[in-house]
Amino acid sequence: MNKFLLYFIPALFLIFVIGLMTGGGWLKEPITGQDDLLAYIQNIEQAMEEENWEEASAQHQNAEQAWETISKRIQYSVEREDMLAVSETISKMEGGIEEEDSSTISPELYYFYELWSKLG
Amino acid sequence: MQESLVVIVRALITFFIILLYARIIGKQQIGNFTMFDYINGITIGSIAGTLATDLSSKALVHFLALTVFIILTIVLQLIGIKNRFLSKVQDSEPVVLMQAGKILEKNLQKVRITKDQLMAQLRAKNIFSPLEVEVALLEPDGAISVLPSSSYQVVQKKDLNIPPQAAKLTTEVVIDGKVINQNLTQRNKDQDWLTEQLNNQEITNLREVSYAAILPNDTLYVDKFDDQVGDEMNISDYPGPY
Repeated sequence: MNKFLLYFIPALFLIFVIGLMTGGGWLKEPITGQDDLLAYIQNIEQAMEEENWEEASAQHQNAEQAWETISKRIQYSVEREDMLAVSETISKMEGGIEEEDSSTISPELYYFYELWSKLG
Repeated sequence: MQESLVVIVRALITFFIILLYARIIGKQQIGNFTMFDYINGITIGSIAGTLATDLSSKALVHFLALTVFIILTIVLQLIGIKNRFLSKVQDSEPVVLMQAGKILEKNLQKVRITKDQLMAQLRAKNIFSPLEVEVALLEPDGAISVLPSSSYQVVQKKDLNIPPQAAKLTTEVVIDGKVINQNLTQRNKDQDWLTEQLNNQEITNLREVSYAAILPNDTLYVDKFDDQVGDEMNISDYPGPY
């Protein structure tokens, strides 16, 4: 039994650690239902195209909250620079929505999609 | 991003990974610390440090580098065990530095050791005259082994025809008042024998005993918590604290 634990505990530790370090890819996906960041950003894009700025602003708030939840989950497995870049692009979108200026939001949206696909 | 929290978690991971990997590498690394082992150890330590603190890159990247270093170390160890020739390629082989009291300058130059360093190493082995040396060898781990010339070798029991006794270890049987039954059994003793031995030394309560061990000659050494040592052994020059 002792010998089993001697090998089992370190093996379990290694599996857990590797899982934690590689988990960014799946931990960024929605878990609670209110943390679907990608969907909120896509909603912002749609609202922007329809020039529905109130809806865009509401979706942006959801996106910010979702990112706060997700960032706590993935911070152990992703690079700091990538996380800062996502925060930055979400902030820039807020400015664009405030100004009702789709020409500043559009580049940020596409930058976000690129960051999101590589995150994790 | 809670950077402090991430650093704490990554430091914990690093600590236990290093502990685990050090156990896997084994004791050989410390026992035969060659130049390669030394540099390898520093590199592993450096990667581990980066794993704990460098948040600009993923922990996984450093973990993989650390794992590759450990795997390569284990592979080299196994190669050394399986193949003597490759083991010598890895670790080199002993070099004769002195023979019959003479310093072999060419060999010293080959291994880049000065005469001063050689003499210092001899002195560390209580040899203060080159004439006392029959052979001095530089081992692959950088240590110097010396065979003293026969007239300077220590007299042994067999030289004096003293009958040999089987060598035994000192076995600890009480630590901090707690009996280690497994060790008692190992030396074919029991609790009654221990109690009797302690009573002989006027110890009635096990809690008085800090350390007790069966010596090679089967007698019991006992150290009590109450040392009854006065201040006359205090080597400090001033009251302190410093």
